[in-house]
Amino acid sequence: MTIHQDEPRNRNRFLAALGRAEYESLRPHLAPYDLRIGRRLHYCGDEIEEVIFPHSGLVALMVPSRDDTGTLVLMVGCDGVVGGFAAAANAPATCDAEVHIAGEASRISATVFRRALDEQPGMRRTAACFDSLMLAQAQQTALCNAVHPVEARICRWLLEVHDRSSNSRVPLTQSTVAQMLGVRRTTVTLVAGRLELAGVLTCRRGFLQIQSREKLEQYSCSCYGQLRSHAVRLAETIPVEAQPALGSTTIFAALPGG
Amino acid sequence: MPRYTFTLRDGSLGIEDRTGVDLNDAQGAFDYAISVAREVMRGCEAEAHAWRLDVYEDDAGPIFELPFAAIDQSLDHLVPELRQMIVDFGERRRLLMETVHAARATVLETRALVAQSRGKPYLASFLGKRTISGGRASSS
Repeated sequence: MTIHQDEPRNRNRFLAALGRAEYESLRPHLAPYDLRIGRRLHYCGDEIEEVIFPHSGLVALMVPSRDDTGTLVLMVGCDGVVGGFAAAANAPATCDAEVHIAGEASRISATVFRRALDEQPGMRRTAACFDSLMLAQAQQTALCNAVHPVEARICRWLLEVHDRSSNSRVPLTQSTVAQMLGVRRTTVTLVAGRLELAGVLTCRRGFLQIQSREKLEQYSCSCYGQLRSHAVRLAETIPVEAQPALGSTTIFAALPGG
Repeated sequence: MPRYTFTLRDGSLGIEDRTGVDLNDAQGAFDYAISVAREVMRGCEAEAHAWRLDVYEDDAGPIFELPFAAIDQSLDHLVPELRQMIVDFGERRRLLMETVHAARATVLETRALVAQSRGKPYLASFLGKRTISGGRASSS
């Protein structure tokens, strides 16, 4: 089988984890989708109409709060699915989904996705694996937000972003990072300044440049490692015949540095 | 609306937020600075007791100097004398760290100046700061 770089299956890890027949059943319904920066894929409480499979870029899932913009609970890139959880349950969205880094994606109607899950137990199992990983990320973030210093949290999120884009130039402004962490912009500027002096990163207008991945891991909290090992364990539970078409690449271990 | 900028004194040469924020008045700036200081020190209070946040109004000031130990809520249970001791100790520790930092910068600068005068290569900048302060950019 020839591998086409444009084939959605080769660009999103959920689609890659599906069995061949399962993927073929979704394929005619997949349409390209543009992840423009700032675009809201859905709001908290919305009925999910489309399920998005990002190929690149970054979607932040945030819980809104009454007095400000809310806090980040999850980030989804080419490693996951946006809206899959709610679409499968035919339930309203439990958070806002906003594009933080522009990219490309595939979309599918929520009804079609739900029907495919109902008809194919294998696909439902794979979806459950990804849901479990999303839940793990949310749980880890709850712990992280409660006990870890801003410095370690910035490093952790930068590692997560770096894993999903493998580009050391992270196109996030300090305001966006502040919004993600639920802190004031000044706090991010000051803490990032300390990390800059430590040789971890440099702050530029409109982006952060990772100077040393090794130092970033050293300054990050343990949450990053915890989630990674969880992802690796979960990847082992995916049946062999459903392993992706990408040679030896396994869904989660495909993360850089894995 | 005045613009307030901030400098974190953490024992290094200081980290500035030059962008700053527009706030109604000094009281607003004070409240904002306390929130920022608490966010910065959360989870690393012991280390941060030596730090201070300076607040400037329209580039003038500082109009406030907030020692972190004085606003750390995890010290609220202490008697005022004990707390003051921690604040004073933090201040002295920070001054010592700043002195060490400045001495190191002087050593680097001296080395660079000697090398420059002999026409040898030298370290022009360290962590984004020029090794040789002031004066000409290069000897040409």
